[in-house]
Amino acid sequence: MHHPQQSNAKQKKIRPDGRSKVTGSLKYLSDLSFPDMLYGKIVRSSYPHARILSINTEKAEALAGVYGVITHEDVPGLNGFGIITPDQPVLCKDKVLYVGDAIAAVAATSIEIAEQAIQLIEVDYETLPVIDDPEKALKEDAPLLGKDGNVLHRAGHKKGDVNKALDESYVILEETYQVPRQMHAYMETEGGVVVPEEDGGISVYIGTQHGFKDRFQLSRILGIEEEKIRIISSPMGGSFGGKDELNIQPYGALLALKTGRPVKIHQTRKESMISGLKRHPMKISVKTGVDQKGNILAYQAKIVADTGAYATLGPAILDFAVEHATGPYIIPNVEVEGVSVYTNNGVSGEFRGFGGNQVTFALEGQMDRIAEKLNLDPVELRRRNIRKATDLGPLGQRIAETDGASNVLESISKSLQIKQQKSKRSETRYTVRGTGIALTMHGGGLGYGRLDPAGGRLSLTEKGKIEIAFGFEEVGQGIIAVIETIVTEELGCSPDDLSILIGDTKYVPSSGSTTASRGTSMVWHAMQRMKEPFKRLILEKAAAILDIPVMQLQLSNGGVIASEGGGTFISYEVIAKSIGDKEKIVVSTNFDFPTTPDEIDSGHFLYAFSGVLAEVEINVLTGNVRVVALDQAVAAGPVVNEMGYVGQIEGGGVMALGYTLMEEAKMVDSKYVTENFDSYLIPGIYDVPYKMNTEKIEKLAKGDPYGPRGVGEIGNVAVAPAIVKAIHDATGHWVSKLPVSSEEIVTAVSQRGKKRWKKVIH
Amino acid sequence: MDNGNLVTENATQTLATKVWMPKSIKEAYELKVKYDSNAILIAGGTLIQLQREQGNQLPAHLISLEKIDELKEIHYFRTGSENKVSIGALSSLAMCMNHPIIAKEYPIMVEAIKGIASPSIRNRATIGGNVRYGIGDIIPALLSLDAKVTWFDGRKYNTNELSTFLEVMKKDKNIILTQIDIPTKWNGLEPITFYKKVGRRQAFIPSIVTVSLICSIDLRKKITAVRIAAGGGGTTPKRLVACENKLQDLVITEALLEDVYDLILEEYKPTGDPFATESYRKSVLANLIVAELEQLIS
Ligand SMILES: Cc1cc2nc3c(=O)[nH]c(=O)nc-3n(C[C@H](O)[C@H](O)[C@H](O)COP(=O)(O)OP(=O)(O)OC[C@H]3O[C@@H](n4cnc5c(N)ncnc54)[C@H](O)[C@@H]3O)c2cc1C
Repeated sequence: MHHPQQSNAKQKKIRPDGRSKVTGSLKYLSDLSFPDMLYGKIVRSSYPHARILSINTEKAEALAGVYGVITHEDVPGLNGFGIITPDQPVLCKDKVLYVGDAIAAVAATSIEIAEQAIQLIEVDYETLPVIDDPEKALKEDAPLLGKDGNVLHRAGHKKGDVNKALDESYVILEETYQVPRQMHAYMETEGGVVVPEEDGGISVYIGTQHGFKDRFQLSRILGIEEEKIRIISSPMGGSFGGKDELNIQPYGALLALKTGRPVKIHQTRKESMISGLKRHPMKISVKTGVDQKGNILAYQAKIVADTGAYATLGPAILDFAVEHATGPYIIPNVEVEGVSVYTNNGVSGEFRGFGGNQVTFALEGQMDRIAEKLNLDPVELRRRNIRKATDLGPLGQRIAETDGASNVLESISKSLQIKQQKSKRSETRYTVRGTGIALTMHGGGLGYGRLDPAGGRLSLTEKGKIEIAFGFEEVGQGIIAVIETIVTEELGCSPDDLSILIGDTKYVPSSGSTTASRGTSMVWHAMQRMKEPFKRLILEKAAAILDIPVMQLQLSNGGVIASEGGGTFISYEVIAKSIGDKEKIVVSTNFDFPTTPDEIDSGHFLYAFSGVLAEVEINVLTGNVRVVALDQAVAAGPVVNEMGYVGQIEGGGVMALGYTLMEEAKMVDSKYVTENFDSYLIPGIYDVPYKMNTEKIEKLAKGDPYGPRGVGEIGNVAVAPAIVKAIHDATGHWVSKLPVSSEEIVTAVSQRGKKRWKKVIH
Repeated sequence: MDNGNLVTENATQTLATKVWMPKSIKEAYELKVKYDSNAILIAGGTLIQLQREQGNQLPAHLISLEKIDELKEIHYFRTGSENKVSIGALSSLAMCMNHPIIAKEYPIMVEAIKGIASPSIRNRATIGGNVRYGIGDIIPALLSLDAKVTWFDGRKYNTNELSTFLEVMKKDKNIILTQIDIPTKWNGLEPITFYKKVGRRQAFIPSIVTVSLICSIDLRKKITAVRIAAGGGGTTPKRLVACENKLQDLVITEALLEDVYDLILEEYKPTGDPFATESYRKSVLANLIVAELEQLIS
């Protein structure tokens, strides 16, 4: 077997899809056009909560250039979607539950006409009281939003006796943490084209994270067999979880089938903002008990998640949050209770980090506050409580042995020492600086008890290309570079010999979803299973032609060579030509993502770790916080492609920097205040540290057979608490609500009225 | 749930927009009066585009000023005692920023323009459009520089204080801003200048607080002249006249600064929004101004 311990970090490969993306020449699916194509627009609700009394589409239908108008009456199959429970109506019939609810859609010859048409659709509403906060939703007399009440899901984890342990604690630290509704802010908003086919089926050219799942959901809505639906789903201009669930696909499909013409829908940023998923806002109340020496005795957390109007993956996200609530620490007494609550706010759902970011903010916030209370070095406090390589996972489940937690802690604490020496010296008259660290442990894959299949297919094409096919999607993460690197390395062929096939349900095998940091890991696992049988088939063929024993041959650039050298060579093309139709070389595999052997629902098995170091500079006159350093130590097994790895960590870091300092999809009375990028802010280049360092810890436990862990999420998870600790280090003020408010900081740096500005003069 | 109220969504019609390209100021004005509230003037179009994106529908007529070349010129006048730079209202922000005389004489203008939007927008956005915006970031800088502006009202060209124009334009929507004059050699002195824009991120961001300060002090740290103007967000930029008066001819001391701090909180009346409260805006402005003055004495 391959030795995962071996470093591949030299791999600074240029992404195969890099050039076309950077130059803008690449065509995304939302750039496509087809002959006779119509443009679709969707009517979304005017109110966050209302009864629909009537829908009148007559005027819109009469408008010249309009070819189709659809309402709930036009949904032949199930009028609902949702990966877990299909509770979100495709087109609402009698009730709307949030401002993104769709009521009707039109297809017309131009965007302008379609826009005009949707304004001509008259909807009579009876407004209903709005529930804009989970706590309101949980009140006895609250109006009911869900079928079975306002609770979507409860999850919890218990161990030991928390109350007793709290009683016996030397210090009890209590705090409530609040985190905002973050938008994925992918560059390409939801969009693409649906083309009706002659057999009554459709081809869907719309980005998604799981083509086969979309096919399944669409077939249920349209009432046609899955086989008649083809999903072409890559490349996409970013997703980060946001396009995991269906978005505009059902409307494009219904309109294409109704009009018999291709229909393009591409949401504007505002439409995307209003209808799209967001990260779950959560309120997390924690009590932590600790003894005099800094051993954590008890951790009690209550998580309230605002899941918005519909379920999507809300339950799984809450489960993930509960599992990760105590992170990489071994705590004898734990009680975590989570509840995910329906409101009339925007739908919360899948987002890089998947509930981990929220609970890590609370957990690491507690660690730093306790360290202060005990007058203990925060690194030392963590060291005292951190898991050992063979400890069980957070839910008490067996996990793959890993010392990642200690590795990242020790690595990042070294960086911290160096940073601390310089930090204070860079202060100026009106700026102060501070540093902080935070850790996280993040599970890959969907967890125990969840269907989590993977697979792949290797074949030699007629033209002599080695075709590698996966059901994964290119969402901007660089999966193509990963596939190219792993396959060429494992087989010994060159990139030119490869033909990489992804993102089209007609041609690729099902490999499960492109989520949960699983892509890289699953490509590697698939290749471990396929490489030997595939090599053998090719070598046997070559051996027969060359009349040389298989043992003496190997795959190489362009073809098969003799291991000894000596000029023996036969190209893949020649091998392919010599093969008859019946004996095609094809190897495929199907397997499941490795999971814990213990029957613990949602428990993960493979984990990645990160230690984050943040340094901030704070302007005491304005309260403005600038992150001047953001370094991470990451333990996720061997690096497949260095640029891809660093890109994920830095990109994830910057996304989390935005989450910490500025990103919030603000809602007032369940309506968005931030409707575009002029008020919903994401970091610009000036908000990002000049240089970010990523320390790659590739070491795995001895004999670990699981190879590289994914790094798609890990760089995004523990950034907020590190920044908040740095703010505390600089100002003495603890922030517990994100995004950080400059007003809170400026008030905190001095409470001395008119002389507040003077306080900073040393 | 039964006491819900009934609402009907009104269907609105999308209008087709016609673009006019007059070649003279007079012609532009006549078109504007003719179509009145069904028309707007358009210069670089960057603000109009932003507002359209926010849901403001374009009117039936757009009257573009782009073909009126005289509005794009920048001149330097040296007439003995009165030196000034005249900037045509249609000059792009990038043009202003890169103009050698402006760069040399008014670093504060360069500073202010650099903080507006992004390079590509500054290539299209005009200084006139920024002033006409009413809350543009260039306005505090121009107020502190004692700029005068000229506008055409159909009968004649009027030249007056910028603050006067900001009032007039609210009442007469048809006037055309033609020129902005900035005197050089501010009061005959080499002034100390300070400009700062504070937003919710480091760059490419609407302002929460914008302040422009110009002053001169003598060797005894006495303030011989001072202009302070502030704006930000939806607040109409204004000079802080009470503060200026308080500071005029006084030696900067700790005690004076404390009084000035209070005076700023009193005099500056910002409007808040969901992202920054009034009180935050006030304290940031007071902090910035007082810290700046404080640095002059220590
Ligand atoms: C992404 C983005 C970021 C921005 N950031 C900033 C910022 O940081 N700071 C800032 O101050 N502004 C900002 N703006 C707003 C705007 O771009 C600038 O204020 C710009 O200077 C406006 O100039 P314009 O020529 O494009 O105006 P236009 O959009 O053409 O016109 C603006 C208004 O002025 C009127 N008008 C224009 N010229 C005249 C004239 N000569 N006489 C009479 N009326 C006239 C128009 O009728 C219109 O009402 C931003 C805009 C965008 C799109």
